[in-house]
Amino acid sequence: MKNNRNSSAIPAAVLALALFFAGTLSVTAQPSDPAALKIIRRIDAQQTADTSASRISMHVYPNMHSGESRDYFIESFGKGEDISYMEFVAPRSIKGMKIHSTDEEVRVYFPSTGRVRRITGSGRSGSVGGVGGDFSYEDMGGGSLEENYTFSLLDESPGEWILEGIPTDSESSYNRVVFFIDRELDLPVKIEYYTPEDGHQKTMTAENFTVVDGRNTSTLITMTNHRELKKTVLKFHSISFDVAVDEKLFNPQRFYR
Amino acid sequence: MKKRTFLYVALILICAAWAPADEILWPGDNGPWPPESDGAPDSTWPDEAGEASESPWPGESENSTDPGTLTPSSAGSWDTGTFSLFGYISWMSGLEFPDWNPADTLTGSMMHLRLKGDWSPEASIDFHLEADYRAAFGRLNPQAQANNLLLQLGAATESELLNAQSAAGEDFHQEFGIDHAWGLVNIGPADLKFGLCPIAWGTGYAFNPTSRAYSAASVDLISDSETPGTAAVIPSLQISPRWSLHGYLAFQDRLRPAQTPQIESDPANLPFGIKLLGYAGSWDFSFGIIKEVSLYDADPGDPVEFTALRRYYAAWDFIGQIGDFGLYGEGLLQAPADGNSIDWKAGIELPEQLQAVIGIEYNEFENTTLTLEYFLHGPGATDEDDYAVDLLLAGQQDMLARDYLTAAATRTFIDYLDVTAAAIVNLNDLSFILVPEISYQLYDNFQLRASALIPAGSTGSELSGTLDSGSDTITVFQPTLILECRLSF
Repeated sequence: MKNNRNSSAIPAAVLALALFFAGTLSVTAQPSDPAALKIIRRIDAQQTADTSASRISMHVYPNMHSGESRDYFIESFGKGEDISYMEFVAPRSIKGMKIHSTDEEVRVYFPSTGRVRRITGSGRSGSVGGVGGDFSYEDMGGGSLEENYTFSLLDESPGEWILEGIPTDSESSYNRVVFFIDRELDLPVKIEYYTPEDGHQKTMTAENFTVVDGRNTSTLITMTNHRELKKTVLKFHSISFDVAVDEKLFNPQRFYR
Repeated sequence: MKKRTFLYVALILICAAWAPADEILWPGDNGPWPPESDGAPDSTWPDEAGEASESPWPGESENSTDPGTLTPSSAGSWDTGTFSLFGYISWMSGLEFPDWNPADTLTGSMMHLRLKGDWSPEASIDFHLEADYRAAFGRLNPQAQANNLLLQLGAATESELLNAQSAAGEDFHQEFGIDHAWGLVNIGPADLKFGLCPIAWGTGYAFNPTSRAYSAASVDLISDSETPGTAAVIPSLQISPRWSLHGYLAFQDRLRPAQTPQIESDPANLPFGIKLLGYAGSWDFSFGIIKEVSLYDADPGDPVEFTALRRYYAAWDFIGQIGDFGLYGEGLLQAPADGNSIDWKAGIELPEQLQAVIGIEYNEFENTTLTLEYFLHGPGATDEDDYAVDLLLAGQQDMLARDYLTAAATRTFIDYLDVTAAAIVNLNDLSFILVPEISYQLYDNFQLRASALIPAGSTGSELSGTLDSGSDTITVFQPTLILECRLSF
């Protein structure tokens, strides 16, 4: 058919990534547990940025034990908590594709057709298909942790805090999410996702921390799918925070012009 | 440019752009960044070239630590300076099965090269180019298909057609052209695009009645989905955060005759469109007006005499979400006319002057996207006997009937394997076309695809692949299997 309007026509990982950057470059939370609330606010204080610019490669491993991956290279710009712009550099088959996303809306510009497609349906409950099977919309979705979870402090040690988050959305595919927070970094270094059907279904790990513009920042994020034995790796080749970014990138009616 | 010269130049440019990934460096990198861990993928940014000091961060001068204002254009400077060359080459082979009789199987093949280039000399200026080369043989050759129709109509013998081709002195197997070539300038809240631009209005999936800059019949439904370029100036203005004004002034009509009739110089024959776009909540919408111009030979034959047909429309579209369902639609209402002028006294006849699409989309089920779309084609007929085949052949009408239903399901079964089943049904004569497709992304930049075009319906029904020209039944298309491989570079 002539119109690339199906979300399945777009690399699903791309949409997931768009939502990821729309929602999680800065994280705010207001957990119900006062002790957990204090921790989450520390994370928030460190992570909040007005704008961001990054170059990211995404490596999808259909078999986590093989070294073969599908690789995507993306330039990304973010504004506040909710708005992001992404442009594909590689693979060449989708070079020039641009994605504007907020925490709830995704618009995709297809350079060949000259059309902008609004992607309808969130697909939150299932993992996104195709290349991005390890990141679901829900994992990557926008909105703050404060909005998405009710937190409690499960455990703490000299090196880390362990928080449990119960999704506030009754349609969430998870029944609990466990955050492992590094006390020195004030950042989650591991997140475990649990479902009623599979138990511990996925694990996201953050590694290769570096200081960018005064912020501790992970430059390597891995999502491992224990059920399907797959993984997806996000590698940040560069990141800048609070830089001047052309405002038109964040306008849903101009980002493709 | 001569075709051979183009191929030579293209080959050089492609070779230049095809540097092995492990031989290129990323500009701006002074060693690995971020620090690599053992588990980090050994990836380098594509198009890495040159020394770090020669390719600073976008907008950043060599001696400055101020990154400046970042834009996609400046992002382009990461990509081999301000220049990027890419595209794809595909090979397609088709098998056509007349009357499902294997003994009569016909074949066709086509090589398609699409060469694209982006240049961004500075932050607010962009240039884009897309050149298109095709070499087509057998049943996938458009000229062979046109000749086949003429033969069926008895309008000429094959000898006459081949003699005419010989006299033209061209190679009817090859075709080269610049399809898209446009410049874009951003000036504050305004954008100005000009050149050969894709102008694609509307939110529909299978039908876009509000796309009036080109004829839907000119779109190649088999090989790809590129919107043809239109010679036009396209200004737009952001008037508030939620509202913007878009428009186009075109310099060629929608039927694109190869000839250059004098009426092309008449300012009255310049098509245009203008629309107000907005968004609120989970809805995007637009309202606008369109002037459509078609230059056509009203009485085919000698002498060729072109006539202009001008139509004016009100247009609108929307797309949004209700619960888990996506809802979209677009509409086109033709203004009452007396000849080529608007005449409000003539009144609006409904549904004859209305074209509208409404569709629903659902993608919450097992990696599957389901689409159902209804198209009201007012100018069409509800009775097969009233089909205006002559208007269809003249390009003045895109479809014959009034009511159409499109259903499509796309599912990703395993990674990189997509299966699509689509059908377009003519609700008036109950003919339909099935379009199953399976595609597999073998590598990041190499795709295999198999698809079929299966028409069904009674003889003379619109989507059966046959048309009743009055005295004859013409076979327009037949069950076809297409195999394609595409390499992006």
